[in-house]
Amino acid sequence: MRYRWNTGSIAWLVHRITGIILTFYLIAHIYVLSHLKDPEAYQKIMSMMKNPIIKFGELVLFAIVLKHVFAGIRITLLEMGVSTKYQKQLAYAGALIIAVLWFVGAFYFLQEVF
Amino acid sequence: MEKYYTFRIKRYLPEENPSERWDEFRIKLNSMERVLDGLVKIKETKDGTLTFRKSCAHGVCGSCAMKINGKNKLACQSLVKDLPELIVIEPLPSLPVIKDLVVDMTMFFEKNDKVLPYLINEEPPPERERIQSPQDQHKILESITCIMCGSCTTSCPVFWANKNYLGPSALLKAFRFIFDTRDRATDERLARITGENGIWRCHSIFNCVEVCPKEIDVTKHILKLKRLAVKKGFTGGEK
Repeated sequence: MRYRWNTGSIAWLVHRITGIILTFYLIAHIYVLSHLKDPEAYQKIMSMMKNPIIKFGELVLFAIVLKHVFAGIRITLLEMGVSTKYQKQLAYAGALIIAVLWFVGAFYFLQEVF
Repeated sequence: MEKYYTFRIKRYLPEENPSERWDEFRIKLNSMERVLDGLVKIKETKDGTLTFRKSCAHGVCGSCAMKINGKNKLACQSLVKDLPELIVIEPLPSLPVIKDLVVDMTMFFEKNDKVLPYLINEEPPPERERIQSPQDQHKILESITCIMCGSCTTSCPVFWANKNYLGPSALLKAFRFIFDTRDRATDERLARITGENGIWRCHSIFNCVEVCPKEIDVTKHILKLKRLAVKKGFTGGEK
């Protein structure tokens, strides 16, 4: 069924999808952490993390986390009593902050590679 | 100014095989006319079997809610000049279709009954009437304007996925009586709407607010209900 999208429904869908991705990421993250038993294993995994592909993945993950966090903050603010008149503005403001934070973050992330 | 419009209408004729099909009608309408006028014109001059609900044609009865170009609207409130030349019309989403654009609203009205949509006050009535101050009236003024067209509930993705969800319309009706100062059954209603399929299923998607022909901010009302429910300790589960 096709139905017209609007700010609210897009924000909700992206919030959902990023949430599902983060669930799977957390499982993978805990699985990797469970292998950090001695300094040798730690060094090995940390050197793996320097791989540019992993760095790129981290940037994507960073964007997903930011999106999920700000979608959550928007919903929390609305539930706490911020007027629903501003729901669209909140979504756009969130997107703007995400973009700025992501670029600042990406700068620091990539400094480690180059 | 007269202009030709193409109406692409989703038909459902249960006695025909296949029962579903898309029909196109090309008709001339002037800029003052609405989608409903187009449908009436098609029924009168092109295809008499086209079926749709209409009554007042002035946005008061809520009979002619349908999906117009991918969004629930009242056909009597949508001027054709605001729409593109191709107007795609479907019945309200996710309700069982009886014929063409007529949907079975039973499910919708049953949900409404679940929130006890009537004044409950056991106190003996005063001599003339139960007085309400203008300030108290203003608390529920927006929710009273609901015409129960079904646009909101059928535009809600939560309702598409879960037909047991009460839906924005029934929750708005609950708000209308819970925040009415003359009503005394707040706890009973809160118990009914804070269950598994009640207010907590609302994810603030705002589809209902986008489509409401009376421009009611339904989500605002549901959020107020949520805050009241938390304050009163109705935090989920059947009580």
